[in-house]
Amino acid sequence: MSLCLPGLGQLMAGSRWCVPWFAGAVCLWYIVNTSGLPVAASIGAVFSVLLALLSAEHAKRLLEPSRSEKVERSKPRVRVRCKEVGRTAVDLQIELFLDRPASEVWSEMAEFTQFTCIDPFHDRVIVQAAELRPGVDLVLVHRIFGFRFLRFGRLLKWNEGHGYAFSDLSGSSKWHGFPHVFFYSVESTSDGVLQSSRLTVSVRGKWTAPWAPRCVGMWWLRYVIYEHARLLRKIL
Amino acid sequence: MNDSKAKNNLSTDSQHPKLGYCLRCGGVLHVSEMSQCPRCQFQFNPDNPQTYATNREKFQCLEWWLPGFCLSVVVGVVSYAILVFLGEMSEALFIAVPLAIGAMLGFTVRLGSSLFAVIAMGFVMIAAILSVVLVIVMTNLAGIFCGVTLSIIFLAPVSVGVLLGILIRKCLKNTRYAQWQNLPILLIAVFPFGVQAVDNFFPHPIDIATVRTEIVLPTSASEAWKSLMFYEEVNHEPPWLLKLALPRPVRAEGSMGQVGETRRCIYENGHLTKQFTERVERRRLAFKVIEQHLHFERDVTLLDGSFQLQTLNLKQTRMTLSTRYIRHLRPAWLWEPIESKVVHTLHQHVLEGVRRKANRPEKSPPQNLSPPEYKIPSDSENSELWLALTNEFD
Repeated sequence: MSLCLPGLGQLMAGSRWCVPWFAGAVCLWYIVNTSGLPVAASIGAVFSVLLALLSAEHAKRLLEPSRSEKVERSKPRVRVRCKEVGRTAVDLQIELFLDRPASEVWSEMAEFTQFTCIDPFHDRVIVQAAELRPGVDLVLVHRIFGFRFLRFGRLLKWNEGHGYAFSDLSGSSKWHGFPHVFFYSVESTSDGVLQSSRLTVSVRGKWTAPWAPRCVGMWWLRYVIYEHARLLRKIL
Repeated sequence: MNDSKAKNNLSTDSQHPKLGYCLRCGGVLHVSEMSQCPRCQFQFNPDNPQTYATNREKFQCLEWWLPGFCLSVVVGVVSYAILVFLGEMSEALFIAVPLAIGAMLGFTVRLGSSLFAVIAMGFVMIAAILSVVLVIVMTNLAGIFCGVTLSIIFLAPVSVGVLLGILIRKCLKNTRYAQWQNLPILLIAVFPFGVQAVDNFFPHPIDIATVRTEIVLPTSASEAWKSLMFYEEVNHEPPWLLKLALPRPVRAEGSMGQVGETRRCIYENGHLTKQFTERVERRRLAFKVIEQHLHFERDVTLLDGSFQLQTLNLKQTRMTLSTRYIRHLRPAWLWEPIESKVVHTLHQHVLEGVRRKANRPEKSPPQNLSPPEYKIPSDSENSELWLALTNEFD
C-alpha cells in the first residue's frame, strides 16, 4: 500500500506516522509540479520511488510483532557472524545475549511454529503431522516483496530444553534455491547471581545460484541475517 | 455404541475432501486413506487441511505457475520484438516464437497431471498468448487485426510447445546433470533466433500473390464502367473485417481515369498513391501502386490492380477486380488464407459499392470518367479482351 501511496500502509497499521509520509508525498508532488526545471520529472520519479520504498519498509516494520510494552527488559546484545566455507557453503550465525534464564527463553522457543516465524521471510510454518517430532516434514511459507511461495523442510533434531534444527529447501530440488539448515539453541550463561542465557541461531547453507556472483550473494545473505537478528532482538 | 462410533467416523471422513494435492509436488492425495504423498513421500496431516492443497488453493499457489508464466511472456515478447526489428517476418516469428512460449510454459509451469491441472494449464497457456499479443499490440509491433490473427495462429504452436516442454522436463527430471533446470530454459529462449539463423541460409524468392474477385452486375458494361470506384469512394458501411484489418479511408485526391494520371488515397494513418497504367473504355482499368505508407509495409507490398469488365448480355456484366501484391509474411501456407480473405472482402466491398452505384436511378456519369479514350495496349489486340470489346454492342 505504501508503495502505491506513501503513508497509506502506516494509516492501515493505525500509526500516526502516516501524517508525515502523506505530507512528504504531497510536498514532493508540489515541488515537482511547480518547478520549471526540465529534469524535474525524472528527478521527481526517482524521489517518488525512493519515498515509496522507504515508506513501504517503514510500514512493514510497524506491522512487525514486538515484545509487550508492559515487559520491561533491556534489549539483548547481538553478535552476527558471516563466514564463507569452501567454494559454495556459507555459515551465518546470530548470538543473542539475554538477561533471562534459559528455561524462560526455551518456553518461547518451544512454540516452534511461532518462534521460527521470527524471520524476515518466514510467513508461516506448517507442521505436516499431528505431532512435532524429529523427522516430521514442514512447509515453510515464505513471503518476499509481497510474493508468497512455499519451501519445504524437515525437523532434523529436537533437544528438549536446549534447541532444535530444521531444513529449509526449495520445492523443486534439494540442490537449488539456497538449501539451508537452521540450528536454534539456547544455553544458560548464569553465573549464579544473574540469570542470563545465550540464544544462538545458525544458518548453514549452500549458495547455488551460479548466475549471481558470490560476493553479491554474500551481501544479500548478510542483509538477511542482520534483519533476522534485528527481528529477534525486537521480540525477545 | 458401535453404530454411533461408525457414524462419528463417517462424519469425520465426510469433513475431509476426498482428494487433495501435495503441496510440494502437486501429486494427487487420497486424503482419508494416506498420510504421505505417494509420489514424493512428503507427509501431510489428514486432520489438518492446511497441510495439503485443494484444487482452488493449488491454482492460487502462485509459485507453481507465475514465474513460468512471466518467463514465457518475457521470452515471447523479447524474441518477437528482436525478430521484427531484424526485419524478418518468417517461420521463426510465427512458429518458433510461439513454440518457445509453449515450451517455456510446459517446462517451467508445474500443475501436475490431473484433469484440473490440464484445464489450468490451458488457462495459463491462453493467458500467456493474450499477454504476449497485448504487449505486442501496445508496443505497436502489430496492429489490432494482426494481434487477433496472431492469437489464433499462436494457439497450435504454443500447444505443441507446451507438450514438448513437459516432455523435456520429464526426460531430464531424473538426470544427474546439475544444470538440467537452467540450460533448457536458455536453449528455449534462444530457439527462435536459431531458427531464424538457419532460415537465413535458404534463399527466399519474391512471392507475388494475385487475388481476383468476380461479380455479375445486373447492368450494361457502360453503366458498370461509369460506376467504377475505389475503396475510399465506397459509401456503405464496410464489413467488420475491413474495419479491423485496414486503415479507415479519409479522402482521395487526383482524377480517376487517364493513363499516366495518379490518384492519392489518404487514409487515417497513411496514404496510397496509384498511377493508371491502362484504360480500355468499358473493358479494363488498370493501375499500379507507386507509393505505399499504410503501416503494413512489413506484411505486404501492393503492386498493382485492375478492374475488368466482360459483357455477358445486354443487362449483365461480369466485373473482375484483381490485386497483385508481394507477400512478405512466411510461411505462405499459413498467411495465404488470411490475406486472401481480407483482399476478397475488400474486393467484395468495392464491387458491392459499384453495384449499388450502377443500380441507382439517377445515373449521372462522374466527370472524371466521362472523356472516352480508347487506349488499347498493343499486346492486347489479339487477346480475348480485344475480341470481347469489338463484339460489344453497347
